[in-house]
Amino acid sequence: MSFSTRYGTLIGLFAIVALFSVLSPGAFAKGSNLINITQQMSLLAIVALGATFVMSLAEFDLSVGAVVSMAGIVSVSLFGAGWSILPVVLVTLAAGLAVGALSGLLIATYRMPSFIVTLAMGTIVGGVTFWISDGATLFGQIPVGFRDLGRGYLAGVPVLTLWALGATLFAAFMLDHTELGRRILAIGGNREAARLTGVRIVPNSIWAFGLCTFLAALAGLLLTARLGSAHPTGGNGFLLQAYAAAFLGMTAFRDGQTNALGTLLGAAIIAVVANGLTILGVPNYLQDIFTGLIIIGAVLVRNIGGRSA
Amino acid sequence: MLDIEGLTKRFGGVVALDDVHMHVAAGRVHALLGENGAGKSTLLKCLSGVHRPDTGRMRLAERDFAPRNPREAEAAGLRSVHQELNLVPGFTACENAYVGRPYPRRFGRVDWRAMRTRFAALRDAHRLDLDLDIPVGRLSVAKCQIAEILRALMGEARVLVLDEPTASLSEDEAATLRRIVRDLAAHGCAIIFVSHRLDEVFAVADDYTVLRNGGTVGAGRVADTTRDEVVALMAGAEFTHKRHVDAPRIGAPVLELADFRVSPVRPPIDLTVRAGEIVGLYGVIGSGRSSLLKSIWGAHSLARGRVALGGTALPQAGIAARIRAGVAYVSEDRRSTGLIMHHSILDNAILPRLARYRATPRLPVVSWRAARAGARQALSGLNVKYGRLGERISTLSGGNQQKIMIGRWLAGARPRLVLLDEPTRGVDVRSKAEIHALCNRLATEGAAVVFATSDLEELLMLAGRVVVLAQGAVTLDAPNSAVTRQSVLDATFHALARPLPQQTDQPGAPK
Repeated sequence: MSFSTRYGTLIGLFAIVALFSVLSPGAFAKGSNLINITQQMSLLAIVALGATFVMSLAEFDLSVGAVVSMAGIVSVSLFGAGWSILPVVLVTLAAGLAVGALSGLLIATYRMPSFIVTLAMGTIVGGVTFWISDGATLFGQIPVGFRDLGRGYLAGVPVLTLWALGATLFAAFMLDHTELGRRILAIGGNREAARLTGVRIVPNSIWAFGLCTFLAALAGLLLTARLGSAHPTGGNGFLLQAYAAAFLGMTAFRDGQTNALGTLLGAAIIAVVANGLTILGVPNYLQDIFTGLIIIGAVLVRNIGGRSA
Repeated sequence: MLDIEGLTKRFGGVVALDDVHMHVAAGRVHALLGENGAGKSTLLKCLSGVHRPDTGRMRLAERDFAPRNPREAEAAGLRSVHQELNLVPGFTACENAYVGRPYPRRFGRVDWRAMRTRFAALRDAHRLDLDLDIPVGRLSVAKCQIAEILRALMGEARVLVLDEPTASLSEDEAATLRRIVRDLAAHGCAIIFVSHRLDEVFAVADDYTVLRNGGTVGAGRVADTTRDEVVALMAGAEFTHKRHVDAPRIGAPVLELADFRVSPVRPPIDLTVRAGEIVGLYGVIGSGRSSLLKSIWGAHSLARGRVALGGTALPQAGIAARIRAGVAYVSEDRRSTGLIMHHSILDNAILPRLARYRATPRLPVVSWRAARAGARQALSGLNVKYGRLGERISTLSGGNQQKIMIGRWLAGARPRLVLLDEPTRGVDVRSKAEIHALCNRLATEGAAVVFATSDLEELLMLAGRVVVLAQGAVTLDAPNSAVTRQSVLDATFHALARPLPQQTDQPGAPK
């Protein structure tokens, strides 16, 4: 694997940062803005790292956006019912894990298409979230200790940035250093070959989907902590961007394979483009167009490069 | 109707067809015979325009016939029905018949009524029984076969090639199909009929041609020959390179199958394999070799009956239980069901024995240092040539890939039972010898080895005991020293004395 296939996407990020630094030396290139970007990208990165698990399995989970929203509504509702921080966090994360585990169970046991099962699961979760919240933004009595999980700084670094780094380490460890991760990647690489080599499809799939929505629920909790409120569709926007980040990540570091560091890089590219264009005063819809073009461009460059190699 | 003269086809340095001659007459059924690898498939592919012959000429209906692609072959009137059915499951037989053909139109729109009328007329002209209103996915295999034949007969069909049309049919269904074949010939169609069942050939064919090693070795009228003569033609001279390894010490039974069925509709199999034994499974494609190995491996949920390892019964399905019990399995197709081609050599090498490379015994965390050391050791013992362990396994030669497929099961505790499906398919001569040596070494060390092969030479060179399967049943089980090429082929093409169990109509049968 050549240097350019390994580090091409990383060089791309540097190029984008350099470009914005030239175009907007005052506002973009400031240290405080760069640190701000790491905070802005953190929740996207966490959801995208979850998506990386199911993409490693060569599947999709389209319920992640709905699970982010659900986690927010569930946690604020529980705080409203007088629960304390630890039980709320544990129950919310467990609920997130359960959604994916159920999807994984259905998909692997009955060989249903993940696209459809998780689309339906996301719809169900979205409906339940609306039901609980009555469609309204919930403010509730959110404890200060909980809010501090999503705001403020630790040793000069935004707390959310630390969460994203932690999630990256977690996903990288799971995928690269545990038997579970290697088996998930093996199933994604060649399902029948993995099965005939003794890899059990059902439990490993359940874990992959479960970890995906677990991280989505974590992102939902942190979003709520940061905002101090929860909206029943507040996390839905993460879905497409998370997969975009994970796809960008496949073009980095490993020869076309999903990997946690690559996903973090993908999220960074999306966040830098959004931040830089906002500072330049480019309207939102143009940002979407740019982001889409970058994703197509990155995958195109890799595929053309991969063919000649 | 069809004349083939001096047809030769090479693939690289391998001669697949060598001066083939064949003459197929209109209104007659012509059987094309030969053992695995004799060149039947290549010849059929030359006829249907998939391959272009290097030399020789073909004439169809008094005209030169040199199809450059399947469409040209079809336009000239040569139609093929392949062993694997090519139907769209959700379409009716009639809709399938028009796939790839111009649809009748009326006012620029597809004329469904004309389609149906024409197809129904064709069906009735041949007195066939086929429902035109249900998707073929809900028809039995036999009915799908009829749908395929009708599709092939659309337009002007001069020569119809039927490749193993009865392989997946029950005896009743096969008899119906044979009647259809005779009927088509009576309509003036020339039929090339490929079958591994000699009883069937003698029941349905008028003429025959036998291929061996890519060349025509015999041809004539079926009425003028006997089964034994045909088998002798297929087998050729007795092969002299028989097994020369001293038989290892045979120990206690390792694998025991009793009343074991690959699926409820397949015949029962009883088989015992002892420690130190190398058992070779031989049979034509579709005889059930691969399914049997996969079922022993626990990968078929339909398997029934007793399978025991070292006297302890195993669950009928479940690969994990096999691995724990000390069974290893290598699948027949490296690319699609064996290796993960775009993953690294290392990843592929450690996958079956992941838990051996833990950093600490209790935690399922991989120690890459231990994994690398283990993989290096396993690969060097097998003489695998590679650059770095991190390279994609697809960069290795087929022989090296195959050695890894086997060797990755040997880390740590040696398996008690090794199941190998086509262990040397598509590997170079040197690797083949190394793999054979490895099998012998495993047996000498006390493992029971069962391998399936389509290669008669390999069977006789490696197997200590020869087991032949035909239509899912064991038709020969004898020590290597007691069999000949001819007796193996005789069992391979053996007509089963007792009728097969009645097959029920299975929905969703075509792939």
